[in-house]
Amino acid sequence: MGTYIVRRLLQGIPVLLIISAVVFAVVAFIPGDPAAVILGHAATPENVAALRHQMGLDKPLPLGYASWLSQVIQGDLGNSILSRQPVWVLISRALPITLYLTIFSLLIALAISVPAGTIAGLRRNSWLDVGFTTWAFLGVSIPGFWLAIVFVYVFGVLLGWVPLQGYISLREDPVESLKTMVPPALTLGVLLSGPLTRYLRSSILQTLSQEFVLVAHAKGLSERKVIAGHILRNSLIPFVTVLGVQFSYLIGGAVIVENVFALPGIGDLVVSAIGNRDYPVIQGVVLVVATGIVLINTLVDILYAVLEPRIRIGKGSV
Amino acid sequence: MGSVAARADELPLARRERARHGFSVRRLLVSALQWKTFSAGIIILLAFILAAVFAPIVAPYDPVKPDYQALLQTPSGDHLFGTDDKGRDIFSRVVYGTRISFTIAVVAVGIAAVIGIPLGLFAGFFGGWADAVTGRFIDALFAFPVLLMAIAIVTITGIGLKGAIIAIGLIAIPEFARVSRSAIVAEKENDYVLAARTVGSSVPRIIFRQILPNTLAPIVVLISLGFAFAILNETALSFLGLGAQAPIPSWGADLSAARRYIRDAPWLSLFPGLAIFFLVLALNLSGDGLRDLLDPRRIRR
Repeated sequence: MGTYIVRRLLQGIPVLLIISAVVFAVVAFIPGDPAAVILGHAATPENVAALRHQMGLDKPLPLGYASWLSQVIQGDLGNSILSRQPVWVLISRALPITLYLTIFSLLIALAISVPAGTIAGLRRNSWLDVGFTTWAFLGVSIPGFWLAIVFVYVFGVLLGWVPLQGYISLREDPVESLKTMVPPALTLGVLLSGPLTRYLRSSILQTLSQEFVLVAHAKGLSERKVIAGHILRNSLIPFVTVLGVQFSYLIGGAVIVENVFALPGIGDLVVSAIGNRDYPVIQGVVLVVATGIVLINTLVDILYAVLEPRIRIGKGSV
Repeated sequence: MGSVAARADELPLARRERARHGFSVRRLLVSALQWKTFSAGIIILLAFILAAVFAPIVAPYDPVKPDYQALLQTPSGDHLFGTDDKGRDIFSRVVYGTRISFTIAVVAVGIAAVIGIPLGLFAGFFGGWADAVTGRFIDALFAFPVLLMAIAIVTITGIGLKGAIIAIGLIAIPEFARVSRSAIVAEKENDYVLAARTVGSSVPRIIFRQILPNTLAPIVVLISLGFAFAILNETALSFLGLGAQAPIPSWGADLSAARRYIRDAPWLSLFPGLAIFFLVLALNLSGDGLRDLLDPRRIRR
């Protein structure tokens, strides 16, 4: 087990290096001199040179990347062009809000998809299955921002559930905080429940065809015991790995949802940074998010190995 | 092929199927859903294509010219979907928006296919070192949420329709590379590839003339699903103000502008959203249907 975890962690390193190179390249390839573009009218030869140094643009590309990376590893993501604050501070202020939104959404998605996927898989071709499968299919075609607007209309205009926009932290007022978070989290949760239902259903169908299910029935176990102890348990294991992949989707969706509901999370941070050409903020957010997703996927893989001993023994396919 | 294994797989299901012999509306609906999805998708898609091609005939009004005599009108006989805050006919804007969406989808998917497919094919064909590097690279790119990556690329390409199209094309490359790579890995073991090598065909010739036609099925499916992906992401970028700019009739940008009137004129938010939903649904339906048509094994499921 120990060797597997170490091996899996080491595999993440080249991926993180490529990610950081891509993030560096995004700014290095901006047409013209990014430092001069960023500073605009305030550009003097001295501060352009200083900024070029901070961004690693004053050296040949590989060297520039190396010096930029060493700063990043030391936790220095540079300063925001607009607010002059360290990028790290801006991100640590916005990230908890995005995490709050995504975790809330994930819980809603699970609350919908685990029962829906289980019923659809066990009662294949029933009305419920047809209904859930149709929903899962329609759901992937709904644009997230549009569903968000529909919820603004339903909760804000029809139900008068104010305030609909803005953010209240959990510490400030837990009840109001959860209330304002329901519409945005519902948007993402409902959208995510479609693919998750579809996945759990096919996972259950696959488990149903395994011989051990037949054996369990043959042993005379009750239907409930077979479902809970054999089918669900084995179907939920691959389901966990999908959750890791979906986290990337959730963060992407959060960008849109934060925009509609005026939540000051990292999606909001990055969208306003684009308008202001605040490149260090964009770099920092993309880097932190991608790193976080790699870490989550690594953790999920390790968790998978803990739950499913066969993965450890065989050579990991990843 | 492997009939014993296949039958073993069907055991529990066969038991269930036997339980409901006879006629069943439910089962009819299930098979209708499976067989009709493709045609339903194609029919909706055709309607959108006709709307795009004949936009000047279909749309009763100029989609861009403001009409200050007709601000924020509710849907009526004159204005089927109502009018927006500048008095423009929403139906006409939705119809012209179809053109924008198709242009984006075709160009962005074109970019992704032209770069991603050869990348995946060559990596999969040569295997070894080149494949390992490409594979790691693709893995790394999957760690970026697509929309966030598109936003980051817009910083280079610039805000606007052109920049958004390029960004969407670029973020779709990993998926195109991944699918074509896995398609060729299975296919290159065939004897005909060995035969082509023996007679001295060049590698690009083997890849593009011999193998590619045989791996076309997953790639065709990917392209049709890629259109849906491109449209969803472009409308999202335009919604955030990073894609199409006013007064271009773009569904995403129109929805963004409509938000302000959600209380007084909710229909502004309804129709462009429905247009995106139905077009993306049509593309997904035909993409999934195409996959079943091209791969007979899947239909039986």
